[in-house]
Amino acid sequence: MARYGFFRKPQRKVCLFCKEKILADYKDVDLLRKFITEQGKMLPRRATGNCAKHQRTLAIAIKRAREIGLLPYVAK
Amino acid sequence: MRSYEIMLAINPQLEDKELDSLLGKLKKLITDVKGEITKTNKWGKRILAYEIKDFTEAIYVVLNFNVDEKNIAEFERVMKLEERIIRYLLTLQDKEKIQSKRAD
Repeated sequence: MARYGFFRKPQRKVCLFCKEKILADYKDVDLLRKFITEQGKMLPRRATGNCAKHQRTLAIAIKRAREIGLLPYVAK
Repeated sequence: MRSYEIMLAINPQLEDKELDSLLGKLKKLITDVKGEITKTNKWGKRILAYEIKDFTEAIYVVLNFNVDEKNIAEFERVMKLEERIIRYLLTLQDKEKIQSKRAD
Protein backbone atom coordinates (compact mmCIF):
# COMPACT_ATOMS: atom_id res chain seq x y z
CA MET A 1 0.00 0.00 0.00
CA ALA A 2 1.09 3.50 -0.66
CA ARG A 3 2.27 5.37 2.37
CA TYR A 4 1.26 8.94 2.87
CA GLY A 5 3.64 9.80 5.67
CA PHE A 6 2.98 11.46 8.96
CA PHE A 7 1.66 14.77 7.69
CA ARG A 8 -1.50 13.45 6.10
CA LYS A 9 -4.11 13.66 8.79
CA PRO A 10 -7.71 13.56 7.71
CA GLN A 11 -9.18 14.96 10.91
CA ARG A 12 -8.33 18.00 12.90
CA LYS A 13 -6.24 16.86 15.85
CA VAL A 14 -6.76 18.26 19.30
CA CYS A 15 -3.82 19.28 21.42
CA LEU A 16 -2.88 16.21 23.47
CA PHE A 17 -1.70 18.32 26.39
CA CYS A 18 -4.98 20.24 26.57
CA LYS A 19 -6.99 17.07 26.27
CA GLU A 20 -5.09 15.12 28.94
CA LYS A 21 -4.45 18.24 31.06
CA ILE A 22 -0.76 17.45 31.38
CA LEU A 23 2.38 19.46 30.82
CA ALA A 24 5.33 18.36 28.75
CA ASP A 25 8.15 17.19 30.99
CA TYR A 26 11.71 16.54 29.86
CA LYS A 27 11.81 13.34 31.94
CA ASP A 28 8.92 11.71 30.11
CA VAL A 29 10.97 10.42 27.20
CA ASP A 30 8.35 8.06 25.82
CA LEU A 31 5.85 10.87 25.47
CA LEU A 32 8.38 13.25 23.91
CA ARG A 33 9.35 10.62 21.36
CA LYS A 34 5.89 10.88 19.85
CA PHE A 35 6.65 14.46 18.90
CA ILE A 36 9.94 13.96 17.12
CA THR A 37 10.80 12.34 13.81
CA GLU A 38 13.03 9.34 13.43
CA GLN A 39 15.90 11.73 12.78
CA GLY A 40 15.21 13.41 16.08
CA LYS A 41 13.68 16.60 14.71
CA MET A 42 10.70 18.16 16.39
CA LEU A 43 7.42 17.84 14.58
CA PRO A 44 5.71 21.08 13.60
CA ARG A 45 2.38 22.13 15.03
CA ARG A 46 0.56 21.27 11.84
CA ALA A 47 1.62 17.68 12.34
CA THR A 48 1.11 17.41 16.09
CA GLY A 49 -2.07 19.46 16.31
CA ASN A 50 -0.85 21.04 19.52
CA CYS A 51 -1.96 24.47 20.59
CA ALA A 52 0.65 27.22 20.50
CA LYS A 53 1.07 27.33 24.26
CA HIS A 54 1.70 23.64 24.68
CA GLN A 55 3.85 23.40 21.59
CA ARG A 56 6.16 25.93 23.22
CA THR A 57 6.39 24.00 26.48
CA LEU A 58 6.92 20.84 24.47
CA ALA A 59 9.77 22.43 22.52
CA ILE A 60 11.50 23.40 25.75
CA ALA A 61 11.01 19.91 27.19
CA ILE A 62 12.54 18.31 24.10
CA LYS A 63 15.50 20.68 24.18
CA ARG A 64 16.11 19.92 27.83
CA ALA A 65 15.92 16.19 27.20
CA ARG A 66 18.49 16.63 24.43
CA GLU A 67 20.85 18.49 26.70
CA ILE A 68 20.98 15.74 29.28
CA GLY A 69 21.30 12.99 26.68
CA LEU A 70 17.83 11.47 26.87
CA LEU A 71 16.97 12.43 23.31
CA PRO A 72 19.26 12.81 20.32
CA TYR A 73 20.00 16.08 18.54
CA VAL A 74 20.37 14.07 15.35
CA ALA A 75 19.81 10.35 14.99
CA LYS A 76 20.80 8.56 11.86
CA MET B 1 13.53 29.61 48.91
CA ARG B 2 12.94 28.12 45.53
CA SER B 3 12.34 24.61 44.46
CA TYR B 4 14.72 23.10 41.96
CA GLU B 5 15.13 19.86 40.18
CA ILE B 6 18.46 18.55 39.04
CA MET B 7 19.04 15.62 36.76
CA LEU B 8 22.48 14.10 36.87
CA ALA B 9 24.16 11.86 34.36
CA ILE B 10 26.87 10.04 36.28
CA ASN B 11 29.82 7.91 35.20
CA PRO B 12 28.38 4.39 34.72
CA GLN B 13 31.50 2.67 36.08
CA LEU B 14 30.78 3.86 39.61
CA GLU B 15 29.96 1.22 42.21
CA ASP B 16 26.81 1.53 44.27
CA LYS B 17 28.81 2.66 47.26
CA GLU B 18 30.63 5.37 45.35
CA LEU B 19 27.36 6.56 43.89
CA ASP B 20 25.83 6.85 47.33
CA SER B 21 28.83 8.77 48.65
CA LEU B 22 28.65 11.14 45.68
CA LEU B 23 24.95 11.73 46.23
CA GLY B 24 25.57 12.13 49.95
CA LYS B 25 28.15 14.78 49.21
CA LEU B 26 25.74 16.71 46.99
CA LYS B 27 22.90 16.44 49.47
CA LYS B 28 25.16 17.69 52.22
CA LEU B 29 25.91 20.77 50.11
CA ILE B 30 22.21 21.54 50.09
CA THR B 31 21.44 20.73 53.69
CA ASP B 32 24.47 22.72 54.85
CA VAL B 33 22.88 25.91 53.56
CA LYS B 34 19.54 25.08 55.18
CA GLY B 35 18.00 23.63 52.05
CA GLU B 36 15.93 20.48 52.05
CA ILE B 37 15.83 17.49 49.75
CA THR B 38 12.27 16.59 48.85
CA LYS B 39 12.81 13.69 46.51
CA THR B 40 15.54 11.40 45.24
CA ASN B 41 14.88 9.22 42.27
CA LYS B 42 17.49 6.83 40.93
CA TRP B 43 16.75 5.83 37.38
CA GLY B 44 19.70 3.51 37.07
CA LYS B 45 21.72 2.99 33.92
CA ARG B 46 20.43 4.28 30.62
CA ILE B 47 21.94 4.40 27.17
CA LEU B 48 22.78 7.96 26.19
CA ALA B 49 21.19 9.29 23.03
CA TYR B 50 24.62 10.42 21.90
CA GLU B 51 28.14 10.09 23.27
CA ILE B 52 29.08 12.51 26.01
CA LYS B 53 32.73 12.61 27.05
CA ASP B 54 33.22 9.20 25.37
CA PHE B 55 30.53 7.57 27.50
CA THR B 56 27.72 5.69 25.82
CA GLU B 57 25.67 5.14 28.95
CA ALA B 58 25.18 6.88 32.27
CA ILE B 59 23.54 6.46 35.65
CA TYR B 60 20.65 8.90 35.90
CA VAL B 61 19.58 10.42 39.19
CA VAL B 62 16.90 13.07 39.75
CA LEU B 63 17.01 15.22 42.87
CA ASN B 64 14.29 17.63 43.96
CA PHE B 65 15.22 20.19 46.55
CA ASN B 66 14.35 23.56 48.02
CA VAL B 67 17.10 26.03 48.56
CA ASP B 68 17.69 29.75 48.63
CA GLU B 69 18.57 31.05 45.18
CA LYS B 70 21.76 32.72 46.36
CA ASN B 71 23.27 29.32 47.17
CA ILE B 72 22.70 27.90 43.72
CA ALA B 73 25.80 29.41 42.13
CA GLU B 74 28.11 27.61 44.54
CA PHE B 75 26.18 24.39 44.04
CA GLU B 76 26.54 24.63 40.28
CA ARG B 77 30.24 25.34 40.60
CA VAL B 78 30.72 22.05 42.44
CA MET B 79 28.65 20.26 39.79
CA LYS B 80 30.92 21.51 37.06
CA LEU B 81 34.08 20.52 38.91
CA GLU B 82 32.87 17.07 39.89
CA GLU B 83 34.35 14.73 37.31
CA ARG B 84 32.10 11.79 38.09
CA ILE B 85 29.15 13.82 36.84
CA ILE B 86 29.11 13.57 33.07
CA ARG B 87 26.39 16.17 32.69
CA TYR B 88 23.71 17.83 34.75
CA LEU B 89 20.51 19.69 34.07
CA LEU B 90 19.24 22.12 36.67
CA THR B 91 15.69 23.35 36.31
CA LEU B 92 13.54 25.65 38.34
CA GLN B 93 10.32 24.00 39.41
CA ASP B 94 8.01 26.56 40.95
CA LYS B 95 8.14 29.21 38.26
CA GLU B 96 8.13 27.41 34.98
CA LYS B 97 7.76 30.77 33.29
CA ILE B 98 11.38 31.57 34.00
CA GLN B 99 12.16 29.12 31.29
CA SER B 100 15.06 26.95 30.46
CA LYS B 101 18.10 28.43 32.08
CA ARG B 102 20.77 26.50 30.26
CA ALA B 103 22.75 24.46 32.71
CA ASP B 104 25.55 23.20 30.56
